[in-house]
Amino acid sequence: MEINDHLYQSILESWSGKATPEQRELVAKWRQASPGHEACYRELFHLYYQVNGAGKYDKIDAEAAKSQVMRQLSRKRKSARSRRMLFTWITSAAACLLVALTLLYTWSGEEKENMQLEVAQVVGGQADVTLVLGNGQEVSLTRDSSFELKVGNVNVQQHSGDGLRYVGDKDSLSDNVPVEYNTIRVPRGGEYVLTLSDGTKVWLNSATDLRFPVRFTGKTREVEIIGEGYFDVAKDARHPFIVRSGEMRLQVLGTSFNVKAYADETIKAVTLVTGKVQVKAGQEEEVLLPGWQSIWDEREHQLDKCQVNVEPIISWRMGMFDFAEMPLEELVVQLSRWYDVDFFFVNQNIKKIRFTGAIKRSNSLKFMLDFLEMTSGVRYEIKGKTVCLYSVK
Amino acid sequence: MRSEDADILKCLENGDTGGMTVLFDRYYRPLVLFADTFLQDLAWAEDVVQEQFVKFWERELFRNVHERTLSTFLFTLTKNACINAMKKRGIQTEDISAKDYDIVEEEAVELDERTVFTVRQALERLPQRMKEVVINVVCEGCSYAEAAERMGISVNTVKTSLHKGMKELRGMLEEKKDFLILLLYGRKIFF
Repeated sequence: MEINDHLYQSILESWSGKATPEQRELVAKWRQASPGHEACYRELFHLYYQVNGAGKYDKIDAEAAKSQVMRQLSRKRKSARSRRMLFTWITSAAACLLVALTLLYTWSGEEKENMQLEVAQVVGGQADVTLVLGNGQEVSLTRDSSFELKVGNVNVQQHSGDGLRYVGDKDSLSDNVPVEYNTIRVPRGGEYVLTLSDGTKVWLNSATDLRFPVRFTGKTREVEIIGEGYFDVAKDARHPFIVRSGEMRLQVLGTSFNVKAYADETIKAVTLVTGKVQVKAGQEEEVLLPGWQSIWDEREHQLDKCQVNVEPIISWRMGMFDFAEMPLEELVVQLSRWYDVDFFFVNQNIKKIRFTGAIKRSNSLKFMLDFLEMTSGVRYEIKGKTVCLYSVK
Repeated sequence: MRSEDADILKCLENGDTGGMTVLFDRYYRPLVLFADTFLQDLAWAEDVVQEQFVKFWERELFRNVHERTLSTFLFTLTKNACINAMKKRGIQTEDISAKDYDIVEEEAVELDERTVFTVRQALERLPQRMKEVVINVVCEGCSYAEAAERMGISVNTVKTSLHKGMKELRGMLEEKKDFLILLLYGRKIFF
């Protein structure tokens, strides 16, 4: 079939988006006029598309696009395996950097200032934890020591690296004798794990106090926390486990959940991992299901709940910093608690920069700061015991 | 070809990013060219298609796709993304149906490296001016008037050269196709 030049032009220009409405109408009418026209149109299109594609094929840089997309995928992967791969990568990259910087530092022959924080030496989780007994006596719990101590009829043991364990008599729960309260005080730069007398395990994050009875008596099991803790509550349907923090009160039977309730933050959060939790705060009350987070705004006196990705919230317990779209100002709060250093924002505009990634908490402060520098427009400088953050621009 | 799609999906379900690499090699360029027919902007088309690959993996869309429909699924995903992208920029999308995307999809899947090579060879065999007109109008999307201005010739010359050039190309490519069929046929006899 012959197509006249005018129609031919209309068809081709409609394909490149250059046709006028009149031309487009002409093409549409012609196509509908006969099935033969339609077949002819398709045949021409086949040719057009091949030639068009051949012309553009090499302009598409598929390899560059592929590596870009694959990078995005690995960053967004959810499985633990890939995360581990990412760590390995980050760790090795940082190790190289560290070596390079150390060499550079040594060569430059700079004198160390005594008051200056040596960021490469600063690691978290080292600070000693204090156990405050009922009579006010303080016992320092050095990380690698083992000891045993008797409080009433409860044995308190610490095994190296295992944390404190309270071992009470089996039927102590029904006992009505007044009971002694102990407090574990985890300072900035520390972390601790302990097992209560009912078998409940509690992981305590930096800058956290936990007050608890050396053994549980009466109808409920009650503890009090200020700071952040992860609770793996031993099942006991007859004795609800209650966690208090300021105006917040959580009641559970046997579940695991994370409480974040620092005194210097007005927002307190409870995140449920398994089981069921009832949260009361002020006059309000709500029930949480796994994967949900309850948020108590102390200042507004408002209790809300929302669905969250649990993993990043409880990752600290597994020795990880896991940031998902976390603003820098929140991130440095975590770093300052863990490394026991203060941060100062020289430029306010960088506070809102968001970070995503997962890093082992066992890395040094220097590693973290270098990581921040490498992945964002932020520069750091150490002034005394304070880390000052600048915007690069 | 289809067995390759099945392998890709199996890899993805096992959480293996290698599957994404193969998927990329096979579908990226065809999808970009496909998106380009709507967007008329190759860089934009690349952005949109890359987003679809990330989405495909992130939201685990591959779990809902059968190996036989993987291709159609990807093209539909891309088409919808193009329409959304255009709407966001306030570009009219009403005549997208007039673009006959079902034809485009059919063509896009077939367009592989070998086809491109064949078409290029055919293009090289055209007389210089004819070749230039074809490249300007068909590959680079010039209107007749724009091509004429670019080359310093009349619109009428563009008209005739293009029509003739396309006819020659069709002839050459059909010759190739016949030759290929002959080869396949010949093999059948020998084995």
